[in-house]
Amino acid sequence: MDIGREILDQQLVDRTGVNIGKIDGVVLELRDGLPPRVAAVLTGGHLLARRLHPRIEAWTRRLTRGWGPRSHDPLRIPWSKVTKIGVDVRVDVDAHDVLSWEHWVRDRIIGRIPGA
Amino acid sequence: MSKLVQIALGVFTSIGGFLEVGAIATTAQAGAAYGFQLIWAVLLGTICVTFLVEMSGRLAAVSRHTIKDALRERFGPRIYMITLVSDVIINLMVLAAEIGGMSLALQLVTGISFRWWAIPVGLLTWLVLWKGSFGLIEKGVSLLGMVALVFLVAAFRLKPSLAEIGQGVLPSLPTDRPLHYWFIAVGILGAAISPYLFYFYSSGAIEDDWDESHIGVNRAVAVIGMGFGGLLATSVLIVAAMLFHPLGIEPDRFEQVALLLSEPLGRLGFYLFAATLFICCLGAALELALATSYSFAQGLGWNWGENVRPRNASRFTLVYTVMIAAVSIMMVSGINPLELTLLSMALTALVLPLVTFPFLILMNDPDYVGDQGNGWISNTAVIAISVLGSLLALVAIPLQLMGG
Amino acid sequence: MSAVEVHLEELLGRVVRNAAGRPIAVIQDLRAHPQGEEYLIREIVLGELGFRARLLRMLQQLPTLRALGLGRQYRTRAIPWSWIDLSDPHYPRFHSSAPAEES
Repeated sequence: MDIGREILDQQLVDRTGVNIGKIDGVVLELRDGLPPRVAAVLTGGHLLARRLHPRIEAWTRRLTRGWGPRSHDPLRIPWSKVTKIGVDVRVDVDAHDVLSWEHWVRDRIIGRIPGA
Repeated sequence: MSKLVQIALGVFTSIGGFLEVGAIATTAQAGAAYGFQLIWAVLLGTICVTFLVEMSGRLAAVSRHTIKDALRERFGPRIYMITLVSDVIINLMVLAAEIGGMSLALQLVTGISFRWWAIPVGLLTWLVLWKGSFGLIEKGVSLLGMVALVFLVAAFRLKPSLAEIGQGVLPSLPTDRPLHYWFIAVGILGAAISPYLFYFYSSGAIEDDWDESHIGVNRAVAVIGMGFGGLLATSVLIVAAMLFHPLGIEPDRFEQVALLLSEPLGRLGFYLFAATLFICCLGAALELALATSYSFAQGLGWNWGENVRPRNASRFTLVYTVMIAAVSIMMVSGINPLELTLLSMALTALVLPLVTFPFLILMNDPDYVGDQGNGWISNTAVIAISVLGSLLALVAIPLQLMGG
Repeated sequence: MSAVEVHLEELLGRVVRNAAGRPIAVIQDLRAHPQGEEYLIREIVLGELGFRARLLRMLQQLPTLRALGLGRQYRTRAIPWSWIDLSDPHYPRFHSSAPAEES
């Protein structure tokens, strides 16, 4: 499996089928004398911005300073939680525990409009 | 789902994707200035967009990915971001033109200046998205969009010469004001081959839950839907060619374009024009807003869908909300919708290769489309027309801006 | 046994140099094989250097342009994981123990 092609930038989906995000990063653990192992996948944070250009990351950090959910770090999902790799990557996680920005927008903005 | 209902997606996409303020404006100008000469541009645009729409449906049905989704996965975030930025800029301009179109339709009927209508119209568009389901909007707009057939009726009533129409089908060089000719041609191509149209269609195929069994249906729907749009656009051109061209009238305001129907059909024609303009622009506005939300959500991995309650797809909803609000406020300032339309159509043509080339790579990649990949005809037709449109735009836009 | 973490997305596209510092190839991808519950990187896929090579590769993916003779096949090769030191993702380099790799 070529992980750049088949894992990176794929859609991450929770155990009930709700979208969590795109896989913005993959963590590899390098070990002395042993092949590197795929340790975790990352989504969110400013990873996407950094992949575009470090200056863009600096800009998005500045833009989002002071609002949004408390942590702006990417979500890290250990590789052991991956259950299926196909059209998307399914993980044994509940989206509602991890969707920080989505919930922030819902609670502060969209949820306040009648009929949401 | 019955075949008839599935065709609704094609027709909906076409009303609003194809026939909207841009198509009406460019074909009316084309007919008025050059008679039947530019029918080839409408034909070329229709052929190209039919291929692209069929491809989007096939991609969605086989790979279960929408275009934007697949773009990021296959090409990475940089290419995705470039297409996203270009999308957002052009979609904003075209949405502004559509809000302007709806407002003008209301101005025609009530006499109250279109600037007052911008915000109510924006609110209406937003409300339809907020409250409506994809299926409801799809069928509602397709049904209401049938009012556009009035152009076909008017075209028939005027009894145009089939020989002259036939001549217009073949590309010809302009004998008078060549720069304007090519600018209009480029605008027609941009109006017909709008990326938001097929991005929307691919998302619609996923919203309607298509799979490999829908491939045949998809082909029929694409041809019928876009063929319908092309036919209507050609009708507008024919009516303008028969009414305005002999008199040398070139409409530079929509009130004048309304005369196209009030001439052959009287008072009723006037109201039908306003209704057609309103409904087509509403369809377009809905598609543009949704297409932009889809573009963000599908590339960034958010939960998305018009069938999903707003609170369960908050970021997706936020995008179209902000977009409609920004554009409506902008239109209160009174920018001429007709000029904005023509410029945004030409810009669309300019960036066509950027949009179509990555898409074509996807359509030839077995990882995505399995053994349902493109044949050489679709590939060649789309590449040729995209490059042609872009080169024409590259030349025509700056010269028009300088000279116009 | 020490463990260092690196990010895949920081490695992709990086130029790999030999022990003398000369650019040799570009990291195209990393190939993993399952072993029990784990996925281990067994091979590193390298691609050609240079913007022109990548451009030609892009053109080659469109069948029409390929038929017209534009673009040419992009060469990749898979080498064992142990030949490249990935600990600094910005400067991957061939281990001096790897066989002499000149492209």
